[in-house]
Amino acid sequence: MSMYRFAAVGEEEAVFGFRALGVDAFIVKSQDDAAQVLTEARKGGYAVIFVTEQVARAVPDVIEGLGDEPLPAVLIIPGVGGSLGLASKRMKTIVEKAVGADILFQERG
Amino acid sequence: MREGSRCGAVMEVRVSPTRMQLLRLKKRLGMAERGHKLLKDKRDELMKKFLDLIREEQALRRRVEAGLAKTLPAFLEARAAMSSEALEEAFMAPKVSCGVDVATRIIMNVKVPEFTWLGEKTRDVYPYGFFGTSASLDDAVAGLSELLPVMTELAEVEKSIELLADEIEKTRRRVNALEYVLIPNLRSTARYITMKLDEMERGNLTRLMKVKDIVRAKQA
Repeated sequence: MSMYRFAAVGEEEAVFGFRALGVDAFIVKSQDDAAQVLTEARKGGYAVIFVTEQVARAVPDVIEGLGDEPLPAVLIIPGVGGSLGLASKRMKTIVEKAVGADILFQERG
Repeated sequence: MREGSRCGAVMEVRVSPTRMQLLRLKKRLGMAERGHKLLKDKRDELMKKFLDLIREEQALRRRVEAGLAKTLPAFLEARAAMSSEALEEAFMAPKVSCGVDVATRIIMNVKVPEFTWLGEKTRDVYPYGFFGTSASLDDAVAGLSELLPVMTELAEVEKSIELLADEIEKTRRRVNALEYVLIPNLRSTARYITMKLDEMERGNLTRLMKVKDIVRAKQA
């Protein structure tokens, strides 16, 4: 049984708290950093990487690229400013691609 | 009927109209139909699993977002109340080592990860003494420690959804290719051969009757 760890990638004020629980925090200082920091986090061999919406929005292509591999799993979490609904939007596109129609998310937009 | 035969004239698999070919075609048609049925079943089953996962995802997502909306501001509050050195010190040595065990589960031939939460479920998650730290930090850490297992589950579910979505798309394409291209093509080709054979049969019969007429006329 091997243990994988977590990483959190995001702005400092959103991810510093994760360190209290032994999650490795990767701090993104500006939008231009995002891709680089994310790539670095990816090399760390984490099972789950939490990414704040702000970062995910800056580098959507990197996030999509991670989708095809079994690990790591990327979880988009709302940043300090509250949820932008980015994660639901992403799920919506995935469902649409698979099913060919928007079947579940109509009520939520 | 006419449309089918016209389509057959254009799209048919090019074959010589013989009985041998007809037999072979019928065998292929049977195989294609069996494959189509199997793939359709696979697609339906995948879809069922997929919808279950989606529902799970929505519930978990709501929990995570609500939880984080409470926890993150608490962290900010704590940071405002404490000096950054004190905060740094407080986080120096995390007490709970959180992590996950990763296994793979197979849903309809799709490998999806399965995360098992490996954090201890103790109340005592604070990596610091209570002296010199603010109360909102305690709330935030406690809240987050409860949230992490849920987030792990959500990550697993979302990943599974992504991987299943790919497989569904592929299967759907195959089903459609069989249903709308290969099977109709084979059918129309088979029909074309049958008609050709019938035509030849009739031609033969007429020829025989004609020959018989001639023979009879000579005898008379």
